[in-house]
Amino acid sequence: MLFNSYQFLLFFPIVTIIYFLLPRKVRWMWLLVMSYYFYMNWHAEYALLMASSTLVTWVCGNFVSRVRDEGKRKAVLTVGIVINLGMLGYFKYTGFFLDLVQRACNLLHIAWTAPRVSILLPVGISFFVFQALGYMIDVYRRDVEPERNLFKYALFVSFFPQLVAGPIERSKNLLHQVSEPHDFDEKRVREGLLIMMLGFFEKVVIADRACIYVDAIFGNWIAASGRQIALSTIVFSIQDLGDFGGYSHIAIGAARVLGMHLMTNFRQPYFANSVRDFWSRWHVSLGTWFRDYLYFPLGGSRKGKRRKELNTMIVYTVSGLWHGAALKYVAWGMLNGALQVIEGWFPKPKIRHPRLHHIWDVARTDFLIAITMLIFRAGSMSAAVGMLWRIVTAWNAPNYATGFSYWQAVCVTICIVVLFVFEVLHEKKITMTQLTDRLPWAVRGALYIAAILAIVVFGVWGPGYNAQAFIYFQF
Amino acid sequence: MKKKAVIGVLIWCVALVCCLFGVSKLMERQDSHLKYDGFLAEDEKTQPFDVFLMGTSHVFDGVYPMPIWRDHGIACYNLANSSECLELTEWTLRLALQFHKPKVALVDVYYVDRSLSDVWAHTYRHLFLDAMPLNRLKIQSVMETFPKNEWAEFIVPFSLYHGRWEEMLAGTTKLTMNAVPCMMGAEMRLRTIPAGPWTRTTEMNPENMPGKDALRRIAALCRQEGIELVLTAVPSAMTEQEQKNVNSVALIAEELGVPFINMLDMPELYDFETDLYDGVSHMNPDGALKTTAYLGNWLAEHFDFTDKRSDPAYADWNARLAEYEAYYASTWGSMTTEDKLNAAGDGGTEQ
Repeated sequence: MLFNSYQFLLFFPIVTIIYFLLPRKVRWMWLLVMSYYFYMNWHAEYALLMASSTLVTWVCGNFVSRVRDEGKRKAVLTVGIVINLGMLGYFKYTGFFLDLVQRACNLLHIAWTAPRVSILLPVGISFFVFQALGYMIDVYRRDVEPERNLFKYALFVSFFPQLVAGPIERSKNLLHQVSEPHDFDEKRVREGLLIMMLGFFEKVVIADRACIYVDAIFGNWIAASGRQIALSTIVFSIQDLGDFGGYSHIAIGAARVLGMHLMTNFRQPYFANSVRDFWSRWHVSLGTWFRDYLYFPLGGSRKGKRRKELNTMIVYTVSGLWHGAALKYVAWGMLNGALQVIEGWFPKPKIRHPRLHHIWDVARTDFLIAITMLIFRAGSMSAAVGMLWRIVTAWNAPNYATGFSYWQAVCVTICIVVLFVFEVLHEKKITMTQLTDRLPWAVRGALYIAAILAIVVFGVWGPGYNAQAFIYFQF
Repeated sequence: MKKKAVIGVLIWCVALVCCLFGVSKLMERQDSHLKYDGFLAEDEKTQPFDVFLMGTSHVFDGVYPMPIWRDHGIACYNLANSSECLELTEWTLRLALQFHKPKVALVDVYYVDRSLSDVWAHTYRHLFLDAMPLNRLKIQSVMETFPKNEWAEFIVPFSLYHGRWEEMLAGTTKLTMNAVPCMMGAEMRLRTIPAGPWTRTTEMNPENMPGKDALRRIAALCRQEGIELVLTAVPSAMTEQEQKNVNSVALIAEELGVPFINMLDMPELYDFETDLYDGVSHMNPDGALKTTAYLGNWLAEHFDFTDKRSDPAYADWNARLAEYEAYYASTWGSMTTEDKLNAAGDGGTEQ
């Protein structure tokens, strides 16, 4: 069940209304049942996979919290990690590794053909496995108390708003909220709905319309001019933000309506003044996960400059692999790591004109990020290289007919400007609720209605619309 | 306080629904209303229609209700639609019967050789369904004639039309047909293309009639409702195979005990050199008026209709006739033979 589907528009209000009508004590049970129902709408059998991951991490968590012998604790933790990563590896990377072995055999002239595997990737497996692993490690480190109730823990892992594409929640933030009572609070519900509305705007109006142009160019880049490729790369950067940022906003808003506070996943990433800063603003929940559970255990920045650079490269290579089982994702991750390492080589200059300098930093960062985005979106590594080469060599080539009309371009441009305004406001820590609360109720209501109508009219949905599975679902 | 808040939310929800309704009306394609609003606008209590004209585009291009009114005082409405196989005609009849019950249903059988799976004419089904009020029967008709993933666009057409802002702003909106209210559901297509060599065959091919079950159901429905069913094949330069299929309907008509007017057997009536809009299947006004005159006479001879031309309740029909005459005179009536042969064709009308 996608957020931008008719089913969800029916599912969410029903779940919410019944949730608040039920006695407090059983509300979390309702959410658990509905979360599994939500997930089973894709492939019912994969709920077993999620249940297995839940059970394994819950048992391991409880075990490591009760046992004092450090060796046993470590062993159990290792078993839990291996089982979960094994699951992830099997479903997500089997084909990739077989392909790598095949390539290696070809290079070494060894006659071997990789068996054909057809494993359907369970939706959101990378997200719920990471969330469950995070919990287990937190318990092992004694950062959180283990959850004794298996079903409450199951809700923590499967909570439907963030189940399939994050934010990857931390046990410290979400687990205790599962057990807390959440009453109906009109202001909070309104705030949640506003955040959801922003998410739908980003996804349905911006991302899905921008996608028409991006798909046309990336799908036939050989025929496109260099300037079209450059423009589509910029548009994809915004599409990706609208898509994933939109999903996160819908998730955060839906959770807020139900009384839960999820962590912020995007903090105006294109206002970052360095690649490092960008990654502290983009997919924050994944970045902090890797920081806490991989970068710090590797030594972080405590073991010298070279080791810090190596750790950065390791983290971003793994992050690339997490994003997709393909060499281009590995290259994309490594490029992001390398850019941060290189940034570290140059000391910050003395600043004469801070504002101008900041604008230059932001522009330079966005330029670099756009290049990484091209690699991320391209069909393959060779296609990415070809596209970059074409930007340089075929800038003035005749334009390819994309079918993207003038009025669609006008619509996307206006919406991007609107999104930019929201981003500026958020950067200044002004929320939509703060803005609208100042207005008289009649104006406020009219504004909400106008916003909904704008999303409904200018959004891409309905027949012929492939409810563009959110880009991050594939991870 | 809580009560006040709930009432406030409810008021805003109602306002939102009203606005959505308004916007959906604004974005809607207008051709469905132009074609069918005249049918829906008639008072249900008076049951004004004597005849429903049904079937494919051959009927809506080939039979005009107004000349039948002018000559016989018989009130017809043309409910026919493009690419309408008989299974769809059955549903058109069911839905139309919610509003009016005619004495006669005249059904064209050109598509007797097609089944639902052969017909993917969503645009034309929208042409009919968009104007029909949303109710249980409409939903049932959608569910029984389209795959599940396509139900939404017929039940909530706004899901399809919300994106029309682009063509509206660009000024590229097109209508599916030349729908003019005074045509009472029919369409006048203004061009002449002579047909190529055409051979009439009277052979039959009863094996190729996937629409025969739908015909049987239509007949049963008409019996149940006390409506006289008349089957017809409106003339067109059909292929031999199509003619064989259509000829075979005589067997079904005999089985059902209903008349079958096969106008392909009346070559003296029409001239494919001058009467066709596209040289193949659709009539221009010259052909349509011949077909209309024949069918009007046939209906007047075979059924006991009351002549309503002087009935005050039908005063607006006479006004509509005047509109029709003026429309005809300003279009086809004002064209020379050369104009008709050189006309570009409609290809839809700018909205």
